[in-house]
Amino acid sequence: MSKNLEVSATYVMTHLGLIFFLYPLDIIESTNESHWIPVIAGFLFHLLIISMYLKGLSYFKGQNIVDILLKKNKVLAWVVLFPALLYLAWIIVLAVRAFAEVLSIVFLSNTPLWVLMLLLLIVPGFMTFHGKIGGLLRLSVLLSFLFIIPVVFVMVTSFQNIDWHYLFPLWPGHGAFTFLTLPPFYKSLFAYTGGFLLLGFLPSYANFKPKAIFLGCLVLLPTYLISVYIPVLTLGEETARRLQFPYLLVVDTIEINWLMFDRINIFLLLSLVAFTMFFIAVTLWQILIIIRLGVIDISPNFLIPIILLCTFIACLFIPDWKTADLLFQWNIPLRMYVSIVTPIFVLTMGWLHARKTKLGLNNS
Amino acid sequence: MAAMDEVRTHFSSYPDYVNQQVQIATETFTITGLKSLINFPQTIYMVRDSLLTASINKLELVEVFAGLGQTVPAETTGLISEILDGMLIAMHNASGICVSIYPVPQPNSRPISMPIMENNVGGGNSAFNENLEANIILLRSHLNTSDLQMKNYVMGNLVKSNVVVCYMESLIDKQMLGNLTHKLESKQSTDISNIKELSSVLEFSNFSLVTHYMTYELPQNAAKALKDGKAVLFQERLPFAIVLPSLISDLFVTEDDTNHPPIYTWLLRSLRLIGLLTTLIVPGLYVALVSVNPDVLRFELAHSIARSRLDVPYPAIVEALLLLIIMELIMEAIIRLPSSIGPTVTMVGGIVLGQAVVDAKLVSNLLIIIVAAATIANAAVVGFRNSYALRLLKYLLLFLAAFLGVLGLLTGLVIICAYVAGIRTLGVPYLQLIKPKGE
Repeated sequence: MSKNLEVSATYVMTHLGLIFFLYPLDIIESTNESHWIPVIAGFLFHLLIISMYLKGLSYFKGQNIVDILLKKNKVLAWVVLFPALLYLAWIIVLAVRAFAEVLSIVFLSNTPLWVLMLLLLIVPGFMTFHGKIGGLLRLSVLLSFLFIIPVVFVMVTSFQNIDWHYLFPLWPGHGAFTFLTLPPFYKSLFAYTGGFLLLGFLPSYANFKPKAIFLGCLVLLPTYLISVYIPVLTLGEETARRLQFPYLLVVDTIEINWLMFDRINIFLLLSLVAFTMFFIAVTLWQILIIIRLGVIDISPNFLIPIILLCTFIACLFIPDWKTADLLFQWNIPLRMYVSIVTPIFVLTMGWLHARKTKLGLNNS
Repeated sequence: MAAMDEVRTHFSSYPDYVNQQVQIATETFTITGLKSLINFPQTIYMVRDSLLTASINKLELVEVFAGLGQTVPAETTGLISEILDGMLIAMHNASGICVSIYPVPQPNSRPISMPIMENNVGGGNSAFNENLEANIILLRSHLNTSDLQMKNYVMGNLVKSNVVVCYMESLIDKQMLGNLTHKLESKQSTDISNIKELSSVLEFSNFSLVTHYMTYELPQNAAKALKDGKAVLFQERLPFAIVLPSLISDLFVTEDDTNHPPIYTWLLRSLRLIGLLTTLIVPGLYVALVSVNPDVLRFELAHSIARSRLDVPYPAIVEALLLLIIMELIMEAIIRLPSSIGPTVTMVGGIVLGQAVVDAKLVSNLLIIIVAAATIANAAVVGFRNSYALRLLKYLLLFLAAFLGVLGLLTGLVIICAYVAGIRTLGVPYLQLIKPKGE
């Protein structure tokens, strides 16, 4: 049965939660003008890796990446899987820690941080535990049905105070590609590489067409652009650069007379909490699959609480935002490794596999 | 003959047991049955008439007699069970041949009438009742097709009851049907007299918050479910069709909608969706906005809410719980009250919830509106089994909102979504719209 809608909703959902926080600032920091160039560059990079990844996976119908890799060569498989596992664990910890910080800043300043972190772990844990992957895929559709409307509403209203003059110059005077040399650009790739690995972890019954994923990407492109351009267009590049979460601040300044709520960003944030919880649940699922298929087959009843507990302890060891930010930076090499090596590896293996089957067919 | 005597001793204390001899020409027949289940005068007339005609026409009496019904072995337990099923047992005394005859039955249920739990505006009004045959007649009259299959299962060892499973051969998901029949067949010795026992046969979790089946009184709803590829179960003495599996669309969609122009169909369905969200969110939102996140609201609004709660001496969660529980009590009390006393409760409830409680400064004005909105919205979803789930789940959101404010509210919603997304009935996920399909 085709699950195009569910898979692409999952794909969009996992990315949406990551875009609005750190991504705008990273892009703004990576260049002084024409921010669309780094955005598009990142986006193209994203398209490239998922098309390689999908092409590679398409050679193995209905198998997940762990099975594919482990069937060939154990050592080589772990060269790919171990960094992936480490990376996934790392982003769960960072996502939970960073999001708890945001929540505490925005609306629960009196609630201790560990309560928020626990919340951000237990709810995704429940999603994964109760629903398994089928439930997660269906959940993505339900969540997007409920929460896309507020997000779109906020995105539309955030155009309220913009000044189109800040859009120019469209092409920078000199050094259009200097952003490639700056670390913030590579940091910004986080928003592109967070969820793509999932496509290799789907069960055999979730067939989807690559077209559905590319359509999902196309939906995401305006979101990337808006999240960067709204702060720039509203505040100007120089001011936007000084803020920690430029997009959230701009949304906070919107005023709508007919709405009974004073702060519009609460809609955005709440929807993003839902998406982030979903993202964490999906990442948890990937870790679960790697451990169960690759290391030891423990029942999820025990494995999920163990993973959650470890993550929670790891989160507690991050004392402040500075450390979290530092961890984001240290994460860059690993992220680049996972997002470049995994697709290439899968593609090569798929290609070899296809050639082998073809030879086998010819010989027989 | 011996078997017949044993049957007679078995039933000797039954006040409704009839054992009668009928003499046709030279032959004697014994006729027995329970007069509470059989209309005896008419049935005996029916039997005698055909035998008399046969004897006048000089036909072989015993052969005509055997042709009146189904020949059964003259064996005590078999005969007793036939009699209890409401059949007429007749025996030719000379040869000892026993025949089980389908009699004129005593009416044992109300006639086909209006639905009690399920009102509709645009469609037919004949509802299922307690009689299995009448229900099948109604269903067949809505679905006149050879594709409609029916399987009867006699469940129970001590007390026997019939469960009829109906489905459309070409439309139903084969795996689900396999699951269903396997479960019924493997537990055929379980007594079933209520839905809980049926649920345990079908292995539904006792802790499930969302219903796994829908019950419909109107045959057109059952027919629609069959056309969508669901299975319909009739259990003897239950005045509704049990539709398996239930899907999330059952909260919003009824067959009655399709009797309106399409625009109104969709408007009505969206209204129910709004009702669902309102009843879940509104009480929690009140608590969140009043006690945790008043800064989210516009200043004027926050101010007026705060003013209305000025004299209320306890936190918003206690206030909300107090009134919501009174509301639940009223709803529960009204079900069992005789219709002559019912209005009193409504009136008293109206006064208490309406004015007095506000005047006494026990709760704020706004909360009355909130509770009323939540209760009304709760009734907007289709099917009372679904409204139970919403009644309960709104408390989850209420408590989470009291802890974490609007974030708690959202968390509650996400938990509910995750819960709903993970539910499966007979291997079919709950979160689907029209046709139930396995994963």
